[in-house]
Amino acid sequence: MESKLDILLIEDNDGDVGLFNISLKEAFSGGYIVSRAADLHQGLELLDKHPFDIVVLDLSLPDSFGLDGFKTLHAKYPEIPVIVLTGLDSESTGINAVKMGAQDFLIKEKFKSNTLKRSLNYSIERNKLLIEAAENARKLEERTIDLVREKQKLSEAQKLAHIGSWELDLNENTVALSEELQRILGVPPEKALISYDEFIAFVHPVEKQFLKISIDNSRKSLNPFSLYNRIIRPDGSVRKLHTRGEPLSDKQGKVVKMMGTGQDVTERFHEEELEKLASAATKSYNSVIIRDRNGKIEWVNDGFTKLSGYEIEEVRNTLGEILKNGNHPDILNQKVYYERLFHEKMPLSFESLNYSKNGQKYWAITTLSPVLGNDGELERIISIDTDITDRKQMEEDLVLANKISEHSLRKGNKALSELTIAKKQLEESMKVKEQFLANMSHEIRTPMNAIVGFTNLLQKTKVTPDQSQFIEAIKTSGENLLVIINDILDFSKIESGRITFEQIPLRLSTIIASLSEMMLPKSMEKNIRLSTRIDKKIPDNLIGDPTRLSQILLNLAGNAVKFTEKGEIRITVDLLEESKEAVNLKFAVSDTGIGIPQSKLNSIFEGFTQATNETTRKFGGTGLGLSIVKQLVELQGGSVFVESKLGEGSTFFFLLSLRKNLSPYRNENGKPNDETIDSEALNGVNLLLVEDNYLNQVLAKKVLTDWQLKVEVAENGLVAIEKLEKNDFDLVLMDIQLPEMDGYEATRHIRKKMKRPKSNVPIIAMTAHAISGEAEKCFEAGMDDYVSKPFDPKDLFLKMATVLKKKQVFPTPITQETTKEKKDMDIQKYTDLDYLKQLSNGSNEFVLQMINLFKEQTPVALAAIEKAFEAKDWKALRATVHKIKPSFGFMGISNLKALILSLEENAEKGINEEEMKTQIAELRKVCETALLELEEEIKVIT
Amino acid sequence: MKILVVDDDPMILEAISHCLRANGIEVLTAKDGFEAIKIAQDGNLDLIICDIMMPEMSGLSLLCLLKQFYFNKIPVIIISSLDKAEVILSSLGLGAEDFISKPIDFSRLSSRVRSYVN
Repeated sequence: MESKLDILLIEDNDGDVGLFNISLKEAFSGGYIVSRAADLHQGLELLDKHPFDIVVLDLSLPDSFGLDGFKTLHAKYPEIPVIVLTGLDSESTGINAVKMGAQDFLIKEKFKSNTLKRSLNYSIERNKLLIEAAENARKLEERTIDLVREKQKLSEAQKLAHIGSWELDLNENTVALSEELQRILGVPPEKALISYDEFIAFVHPVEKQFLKISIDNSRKSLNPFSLYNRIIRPDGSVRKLHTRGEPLSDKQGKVVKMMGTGQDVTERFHEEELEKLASAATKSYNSVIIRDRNGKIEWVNDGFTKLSGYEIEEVRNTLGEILKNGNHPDILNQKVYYERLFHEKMPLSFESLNYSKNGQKYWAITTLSPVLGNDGELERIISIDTDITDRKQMEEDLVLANKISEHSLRKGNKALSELTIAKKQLEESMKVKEQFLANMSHEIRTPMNAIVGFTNLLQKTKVTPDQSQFIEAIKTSGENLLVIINDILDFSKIESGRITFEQIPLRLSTIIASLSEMMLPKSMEKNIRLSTRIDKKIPDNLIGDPTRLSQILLNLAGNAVKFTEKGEIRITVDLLEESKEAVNLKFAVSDTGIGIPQSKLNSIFEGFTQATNETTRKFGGTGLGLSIVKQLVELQGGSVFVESKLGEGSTFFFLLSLRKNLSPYRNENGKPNDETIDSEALNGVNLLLVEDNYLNQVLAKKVLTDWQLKVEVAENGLVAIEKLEKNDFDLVLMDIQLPEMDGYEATRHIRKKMKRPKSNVPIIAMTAHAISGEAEKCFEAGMDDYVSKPFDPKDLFLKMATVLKKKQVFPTPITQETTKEKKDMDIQKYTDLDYLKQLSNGSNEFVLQMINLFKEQTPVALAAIEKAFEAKDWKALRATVHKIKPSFGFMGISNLKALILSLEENAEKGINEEEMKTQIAELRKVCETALLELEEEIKVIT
Repeated sequence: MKILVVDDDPMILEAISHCLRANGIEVLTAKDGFEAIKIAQDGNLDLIICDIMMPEMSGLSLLCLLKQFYFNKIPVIIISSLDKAEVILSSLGLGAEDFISKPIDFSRLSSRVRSYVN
């Protein structure tokens, strides 16, 4: 049962109260309580104590009049409905009260029970509704606030997940974008609503159609769709998106909207690629950081954490500023490096100071390497930090040490320091010089070899006396030049301490005799007398270095002849001392020439000096001769000195101790003076000459064929091996410095890789290298002997005869007619598997495998080439042609070389379309024939 | 003796492998850079021979990765038809031990390989 209506009546007039009560009784017949207040003050007191359902207020009370009373009450109790009572004359006051919030007004004299009842009920009801409405409004407001909050949360979530949402209004043809999607698409905030066409325009051209079709299908089928597509931002950057959508229908089932999401999954794709790189980097001991193209850290390995103390979470997506401890210039510097890498795409390194998590300083050398994408653009940066703190510390120590040493320098050690530097510089320059001279030795001796050799040959041909004289001049000049060259080379050898002295038997008389023989022509020319004298007490058989001794004497005698215009030159050897094992000798070369000024006597034996600069101009020479003499003597434990008077002549002495040769004399020095050439000995020998220089080839061939040898020439080690494989030779004459494969390498190959008896073929080296240790290297490589260039024919002949005898290989004329015939037959073929078979080392399996690969690859490549041509995709065409090029090499299809080159060029430039067409057709034709030939080959092999 | 050969051309892979195996060398092959890294991680390689022009990852990128990660001690020989000076220099600059131009001279290849083996 409903509770009783609780009414407060505020009325001062008792008559009116009675009337009110009567009307109330009539209207409600119970079910109500009326409380009465005689004035406003009392009314408010009652209201304070008790919650009334409604207040009926007289507007003329003793303590208030008119609207003021209502205003006071309503202000205090706004939720309690109020009905005001007014007099007949003041209806307008009642209306005003209602305007101000009273529920109703009643005119005292006029209201009846039914009006009162209706008014009371409505007032209460209306008030309730109002309160509810207010409550609803409040709740609504709260909900709105919540909604806004929800929306923000959603937006945050979208941002985190890189998911944005979109809503396509099919009537308006517009798309509303969420904030995140705007961010993903890279559109400004004011473009939250864009047209459908604009929306599609973001999609990568390749995938535009996919998205359109997906949306259309989804509309028709009412099924959601999901696809991966790329979008291009207004700034040109490309992102990978996962786009999802579903249709929304209205009540009639008509699709009016499409709603969906777009998720930026670029990073996720990156992550997959990253994983691959990361797996490679995990094991590195160094600190490895993978950064994006802008330098932001994407990943670090354990090495990084160990070095810096930071975990990936602490540095991800930063440039690593934390490591710089807020040092801004450093951070900026690093940014510059990333930018450089971005543009140059070349690795670079720099040193930097960093701070680890526990505040420790450390120095690192950072190497940045670019990882480029398929488009050749920078995709990410791999940065590797190596801890160099220790080294830096050392460097700092060093700086300190340097400072200290600088200080001591000032105290007087400067000279010492400079000396050290000077010595170092000298050593360095010596090294360079040595290298240069060694190179020059080869470069000069090779052509000289040809000049002297051909001159010798020319001399033997029929020439006029004039020509003979010219030839003689050439020969002399050539020989002189050789002497100079040898001087220079000897000098450099002595300087670098690489000269060695032989200890072999020598005959003093022979040396002096040949010296005199050599000097005679020149001295006769100048009409100078030449005499020699050897102390009779000197034993003739001694041990020493005959070559060096001759060299010393030649040098001195040569000088004597050069600087003497008239008079005589005397060469004498005197015995100073004799023991059981050795003799001390004094050699003297004296002349009656221009003499040496006193001031120059001391420096005459120094390198690069001659008595005067004028001497050089007048007499030529290197100025090295005497220096070499001095060195050669002193290195053998002797001494050299000079006596001279300007204008009267000079005498050069040198003292040398030589061991006696106590065993019977044998000629062991390889100079077979006493033997004669029996050219029959080499008749019919099959010789392979390995020599790259054409002139030397001709020269050697001439000499060799004179001896009735059969000569075949190979221009490098590879060709030599090829020829040896095919034919048998009795002897190989091998130059050392060869292109492709040098003489050592070739010899080693022959000795180790070839089968017997081919691996046993005698090999004689021809060397132009004037560097000691050459002989050892030759023997080490497996050579039997060596001759130095320019070679002495006699020497060569005897060495050849010796090694042939030693190896017991006798001339066995072998010809390879069969191979040759086969070759002739092959001429018509496109393919030539010789190379492949040579590579195979006898493995048919390999040959078959290669042919099969060619069979698989070629048709595919041909089709690709033709397709690329149709599509005018020159880049692809060139790439494919380039790619199959090596396979033609393997199959020996040599006649395509020019065509391929030209086709590649045409494709590269995108020109000569017609020509390309012909070329491609020709290519196909050749390939098809080649494939047929290869089928035959397969049958033969299997 | 274990060598990894990296090239996207199967014929070249086969030919180099054969040539090296004939020298008594164990040969592993990879047709791209990623495969190469995987193999390099697993095996104790003595040498890597690697082409430049390959899809996915160029030989120089591979070289870079190889040299700067765990495998920096393994010598790398680059083989390429791009035998311009700058390519050769950048190969060597990136840490390659040697450069051999294509078409490959196989006897040169084996002699170079031998020099790294010893």
